[in-house]
Amino acid sequence: MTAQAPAEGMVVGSNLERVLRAGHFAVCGEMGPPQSCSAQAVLNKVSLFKGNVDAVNLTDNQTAIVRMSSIAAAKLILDEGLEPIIQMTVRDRNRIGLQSDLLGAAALGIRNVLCLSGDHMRFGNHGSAKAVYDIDSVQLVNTVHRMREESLLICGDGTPPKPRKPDAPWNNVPTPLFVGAASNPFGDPLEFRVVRLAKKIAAGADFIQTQAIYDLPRFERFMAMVRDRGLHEKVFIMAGVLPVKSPRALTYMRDDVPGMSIPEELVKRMEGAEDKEEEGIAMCVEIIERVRAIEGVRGVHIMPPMWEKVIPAIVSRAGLLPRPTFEGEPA
Amino acid sequence: MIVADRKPLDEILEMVGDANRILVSACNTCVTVCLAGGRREAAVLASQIRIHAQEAGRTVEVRENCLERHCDAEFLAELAGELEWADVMVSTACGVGVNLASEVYPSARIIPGLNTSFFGATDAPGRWLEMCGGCGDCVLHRTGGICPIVRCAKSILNGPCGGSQDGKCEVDPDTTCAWQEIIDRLALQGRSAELEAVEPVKDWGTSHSGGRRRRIVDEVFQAEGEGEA
Amino acid sequence: MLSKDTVAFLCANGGQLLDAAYPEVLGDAVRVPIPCASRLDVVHVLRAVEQGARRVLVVACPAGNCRSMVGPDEAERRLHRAAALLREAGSHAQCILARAAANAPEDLRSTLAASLEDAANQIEEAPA
Ligand code: SF4
Repeated sequence: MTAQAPAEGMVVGSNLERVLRAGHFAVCGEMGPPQSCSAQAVLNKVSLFKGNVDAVNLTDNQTAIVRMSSIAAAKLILDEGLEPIIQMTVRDRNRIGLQSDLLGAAALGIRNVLCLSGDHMRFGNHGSAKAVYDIDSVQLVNTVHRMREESLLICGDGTPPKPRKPDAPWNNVPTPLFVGAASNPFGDPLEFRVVRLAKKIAAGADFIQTQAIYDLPRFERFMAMVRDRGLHEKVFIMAGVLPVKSPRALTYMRDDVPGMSIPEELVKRMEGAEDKEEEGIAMCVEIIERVRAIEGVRGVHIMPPMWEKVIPAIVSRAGLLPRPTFEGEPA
Repeated sequence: MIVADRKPLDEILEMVGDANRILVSACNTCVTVCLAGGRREAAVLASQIRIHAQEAGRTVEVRENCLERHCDAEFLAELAGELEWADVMVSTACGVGVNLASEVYPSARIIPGLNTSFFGATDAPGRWLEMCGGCGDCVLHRTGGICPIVRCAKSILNGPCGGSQDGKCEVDPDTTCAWQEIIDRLALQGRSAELEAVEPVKDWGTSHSGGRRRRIVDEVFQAEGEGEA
Repeated sequence: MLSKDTVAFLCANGGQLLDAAYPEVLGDAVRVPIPCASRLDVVHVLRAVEQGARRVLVVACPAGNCRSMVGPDEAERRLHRAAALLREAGSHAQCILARAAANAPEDLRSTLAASLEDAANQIEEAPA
């Protein structure tokens, strides 16, 4: 389990990786696949992201509500010229299903994966589902890393190009995936959050997307601890931001979403605002500017819950346009 | 011990159906301690069945007994006569007892009066908490004696997940986060550094995933086998 | 007036003394002496109903007046439990907890009167 230093060469050459390695401040946006098989619902959102973000996260049955598979949705947007990051939780699939889907995703041209524990099914629309949790998110990071670096599965078998004859020699095919993990600077205990981040890096994480940030002082403390351990030099950390358009959304997150920290003044500010949407955008842009100034933050991940149309405004007002483009095909 | 819950009466009555001679058989071991299926609980159930029949204008005969253990065939021998008499037996033993009694008396109708839930311990009078997942590959020495398999809602081996807050589990604010406890316990023992290592994937082959498990103590098992042959 | 379909559990320090001095209060109810209200068992209540009682009365000491301190509270919890179990079994039998000191037959009379008239005073409301 060796850490992948960002300074070293390209591992996959996804657009996200190229943006990050070139030293640009990266921008990701989150898209929730529909609760139906409507490809159109996915395609309708493409224009909101195109040219505004470097890669799009496709959530994996977020909040444990059944939705179109993130891999299928990723393929739909990939065909439209957007770069997907599939989110993959360990809640619904065991190691066989996870590895099989990783191979399939890579075969479809998907180059980024974000490894997550996943929201517990108790929060979703199938509360009586049997939990899987065969491996945990740290182990999934390591699984992807190993499939890429060593062409090996968890069991130790290789990933040969075609059905192999018993004695014929073969070269295993690596699975080209840029591997990400989440980090929650607001979960408890704070000190251990940094340890867990270090574990994810040791397991092979290339990039990190954090939980939505509202509590800047706490995030700054977290980043200081990250820098103390030099972790910001071993992994690309992208700060999560979540624009809202009502004070209720903030209080809901404060009261009902585990692992969130929402300062009271933001709630007040939102309550006092005349144009709530405008205030939500302004607040989000401010947070982006603040996190961008923190050493070790290499990008931002925008997660507008069912409000994807706000992405162009946020990105442009935060001065993040135009997004970098690269000569030639991805490696 | 094994912790169980009594099934709702309606469910038991549905299983009993129109049987007229009903044996309620209690177990004097775990389910007595967790107040689910001991002598007293069996008496309550038997009484409820009788009252229900009276209210419905039916006559049923309900007998009660209590065995030392239902998980040992030796003790189950006591049931032979009663099962001759009974149309159905409601077992208030754990699932082990129901399985074994059904194996010993294959032609008897034996139904479960309890929902067997977990391996746990008494935490306070009237409250029991799950402690062990019976996974067949114990990791407790690495987690300060706190089982992440069942005490963490996501069975995380490299915890905690992002939802742990104020020491509580994201899944249920009344439950402590097992990983917060593990971190605190190892800190208390001066072993925090151990948590920096990535815990590798677990072999669930020793758990329920492999189907029915068995344990054999060779010398004893051999000797018995020879004796039988 | 209470008849034989009432079973009254009487504790030694309260109910039994009261009944000895004022036997008319409990009328024809079937008396069952218990050493203390805290010794009431759920099964006792169920068995009484099984044997035909339509009403189960527990006469315990008033709060703070009990020799064992927690007797009446314990009795109340068990009676609640018994009432729930009876309801689960489809029984309409009434469970009444009366708290009355040995020298206060009026307390018992009024509790009984209220319980007999007013279903809301029952420990658990019997289904209609
Ligand atoms: S909050 Fe703690 S106990 Fe609950 S799922 Fe997360 S790590 Fe496990």
